Amino acid sequence: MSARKRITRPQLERTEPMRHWPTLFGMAGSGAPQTEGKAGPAGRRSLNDAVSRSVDLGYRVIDEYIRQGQRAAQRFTDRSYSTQAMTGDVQELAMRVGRYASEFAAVWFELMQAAVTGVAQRQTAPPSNGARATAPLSPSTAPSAAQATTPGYATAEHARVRIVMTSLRPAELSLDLRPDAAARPLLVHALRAVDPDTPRVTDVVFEAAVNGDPPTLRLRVPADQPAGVYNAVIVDAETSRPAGTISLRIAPE
Amino acid sequence: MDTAATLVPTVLKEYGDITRVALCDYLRPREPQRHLYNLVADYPRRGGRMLRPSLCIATARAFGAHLEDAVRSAVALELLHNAFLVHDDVEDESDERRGRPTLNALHGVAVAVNVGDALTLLALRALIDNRNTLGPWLSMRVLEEAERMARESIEGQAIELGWRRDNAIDLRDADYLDMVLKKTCWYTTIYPSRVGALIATRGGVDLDRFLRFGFFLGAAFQIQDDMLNLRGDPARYGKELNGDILEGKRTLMLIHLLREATGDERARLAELLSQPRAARKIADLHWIRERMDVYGCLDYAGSVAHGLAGAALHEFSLLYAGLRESRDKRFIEALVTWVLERT
Repeated sequence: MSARKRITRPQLERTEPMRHWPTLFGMAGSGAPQTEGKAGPAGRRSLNDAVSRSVDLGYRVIDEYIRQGQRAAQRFTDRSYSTQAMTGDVQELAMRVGRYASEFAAVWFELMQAAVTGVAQRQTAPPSNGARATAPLSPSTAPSAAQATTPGYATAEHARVRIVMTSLRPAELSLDLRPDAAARPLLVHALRAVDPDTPRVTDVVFEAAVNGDPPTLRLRVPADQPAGVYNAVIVDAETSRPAGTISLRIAPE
Repeated sequence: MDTAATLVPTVLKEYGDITRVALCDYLRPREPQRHLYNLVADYPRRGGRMLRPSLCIATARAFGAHLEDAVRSAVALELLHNAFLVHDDVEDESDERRGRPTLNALHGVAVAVNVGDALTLLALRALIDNRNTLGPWLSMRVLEEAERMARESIEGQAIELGWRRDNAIDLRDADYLDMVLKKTCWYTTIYPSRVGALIATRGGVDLDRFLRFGFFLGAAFQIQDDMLNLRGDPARYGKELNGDILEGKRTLMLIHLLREATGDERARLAELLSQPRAARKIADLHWIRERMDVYGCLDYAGSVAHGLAGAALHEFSLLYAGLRESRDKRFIEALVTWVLERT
């Protein structure tokens, strides 16, 4: 055996990963006053524990809050539905409540307007007893679907319409339909801008409902279509009466 | 492209300016001007960070809404925020707000309460005006959200006032977070996020998904705010430093101190906190503040705030993962860091 001293690995300064959450946000060296018992490793470990505990505690608090809401909704559901043998779906119940409230609101708003101004400002409001769907302003090359959500007065059902819009540019599509229109054969011609010289959006079609699926509105925005707002009337193909409107907004490049 | 450090101030200024312009519609001088409407416009005109309206607008835009669709809701939120501030100052007997004397200090409690009521009604007016841009159904849904937000906030305020009235000293961190969830988070972060998403999607998104993100962000914000009350820059903070101690406000630092203090210290604290604000002496305030340093209460609260902010970032990554990249999305994410870095 050699008499020379063996080369050995130096003692490691640390034997575990440095897990120091506060440095994630630059807390170290933030100028916070040093306090008794805080300078050593024990104090730092204590603060790290506080970080972990606070996250754990935070999740317990918010999850308990959410559970309380769910329990309240469940009690509400049980009481409301048991005597009426209706579905127990909480979301559906919430939508019904919202719908009734909106129906009341519509009447309320109309009364207020009539009382204050005497003139109803209808031009900016959607049809009070129709359905409205909006596909958000976003560039989309893949088909997207939207569902009409806004019911009107007491007889309103959810008018479900599938919207498939293809656009390379940010665009928003608003659809307003009269009650029961979704069940009718619908026809839509090209969408027009206010300026008659602006080219129309012609690649638009309503496909009838098939096998219980909702009717589909397909629209393609040409890549070179000028930015602006385009509108079209939806027509009942059998009666030739207006059944709703489509409004398309194409954002500037 | 803005960096994270510059993005938040830039967007806060941009959306804040838009909100302030729209706010003018509701703050026009009219009679009785001297006794009401001049005073109603006082707090809103003192400035403010415009965090809440900016978060509302940014969330709406991140989800694809037009800016103008969210502005009335943002204005309503700012008006309601100012109404809360006026009433808070009365309840807390505060002397200073945004660098100037509070309304109750300037004009008395009765006038201040009435001004707060007027601001609440103006917020309701702004929500009703939503109908012109959002239609009756969506504007009613926003109104319902506002009603819930106001109710949660008032419940949270009631809990905190009750603690002070009953001189509660056996509070846990969980109690504090429960209270902050209602008093601060709902109207500062949860409601702006929910309403922004509601407007953009026309009710097409589950709003309860915003509870966790809003809670963690709002709680980190409140704890940082409470810490600034103890060691903030007096010129920038705008409220009296150490005012929370004077008011006996149950902050996380005070709760930690009550937990860590010796028996004698705890008894002295309980006695001091039982006194009315006017009876508390500066020497007592300094003693409490000094004990907080001794027991590392601010460091502890800072650690909790950082932990909650980390959870907020995690929840953000889950909540916004499906949205396309945008400046508004980056702003919302950067807010998490900003709430901890503000001075």
